[in-house]
Amino acid sequence: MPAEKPATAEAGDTDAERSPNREFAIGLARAFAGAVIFALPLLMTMEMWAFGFTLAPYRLMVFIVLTIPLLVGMAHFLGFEPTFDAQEDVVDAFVAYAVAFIAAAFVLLLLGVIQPGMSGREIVGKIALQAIPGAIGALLAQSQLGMENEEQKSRERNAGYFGELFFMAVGALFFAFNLAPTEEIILTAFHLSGLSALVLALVSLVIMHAFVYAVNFSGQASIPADKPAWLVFLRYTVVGYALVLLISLFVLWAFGRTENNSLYENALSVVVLGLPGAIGAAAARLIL
Amino acid sequence: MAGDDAPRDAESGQKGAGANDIPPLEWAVAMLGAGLVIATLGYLLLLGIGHGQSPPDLQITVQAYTAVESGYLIEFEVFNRGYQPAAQVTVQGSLRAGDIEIETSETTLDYVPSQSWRGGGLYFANDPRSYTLVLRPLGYQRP
Repeated sequence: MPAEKPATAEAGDTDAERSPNREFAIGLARAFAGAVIFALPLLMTMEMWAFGFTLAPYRLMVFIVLTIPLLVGMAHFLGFEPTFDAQEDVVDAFVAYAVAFIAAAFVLLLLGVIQPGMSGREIVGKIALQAIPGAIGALLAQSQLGMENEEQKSRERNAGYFGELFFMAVGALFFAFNLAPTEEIILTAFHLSGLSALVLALVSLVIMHAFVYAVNFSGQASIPADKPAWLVFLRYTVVGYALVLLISLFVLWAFGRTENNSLYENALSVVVLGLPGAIGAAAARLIL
Repeated sequence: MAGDDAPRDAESGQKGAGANDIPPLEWAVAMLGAGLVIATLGYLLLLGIGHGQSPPDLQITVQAYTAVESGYLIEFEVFNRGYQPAAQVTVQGSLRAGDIEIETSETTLDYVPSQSWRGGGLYFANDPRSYTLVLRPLGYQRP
């Protein structure tokens, strides 16, 4: 670690003696662990394997193209380098993607989901799709595990209103991504009445708002105490839930789950996926 | 947020290019990541604009013949020459003596992706070697 970086040198005296390459290699190992932990449930989900070859190429492209800025944003808010450095964030993002891609390829090969005789499209599709949740896990592990220090904590806390919304979006996306591939989401929507969906949406809102207060209690919220309750509800819970619904719609679209369905049926699916999305969004604010 | 970052910006400005902080190994892995993203996107783009949407075109070949407990087993492979995947592919095998159909047997394959192979087997009570064996796909579902 170069001498001109006192901020990270304080994090641990032993770190200062390690070579940057070695330190990065340790971070890389953590990133692999994170990628596998976060992606394993999906790596072992049958629907995800099928999406590897049934998903239209352009949908997969949209997924990948949107994942990169998401990773850069995460690297910015969570990155273990405390300096604000856009280049570093972009590098972190691509490192996370590389790690996730390799980890996904390795696990899929290990499980026999990728085999000889499969077309390039099937193999690339399966890996590229699984690399998305894996990259989120890799980036989290790379930045969160180990390198925890006060500098970083304070940065997360001071992420600001849009930073908070960003964390919510990441949490919602990750949870929605985990559940949208399953048949259960649309199946639930099929047998849900409009009224039950409304109840589900209200319950999602209540859960999200409860988390807002939980965050307040844990002391890491950036909600000023003098703000009236309704404003907090509007700024965090309602806006957060709107974000959750938009992300749910996007994920359902990207997985081709909205295709040839009525608006009503799609609205129900969005609300159903919105439940895990809301919990993911709310939990992300608490955890990240 | 801006106020929080301001002193650090000044610090990084002082030491010049932040690139010096990134270890070579990290650069290498990041380049690999960027390469993978570009290659994947390029490949998907080619797939998307290239072969278009030619429907599943299934070609069935016999792989093996085995005498088994319940009769005779014909193992086969299906290759999808089209550029769209097929789900729930029904494969029918029939044993014929001239125009007369002696026996039929069928099975369903979950998926046969485009340009890929999937395999299965059909059991027959009669010995397929004594007759003409015809294997053909009956239908599929769009996934």
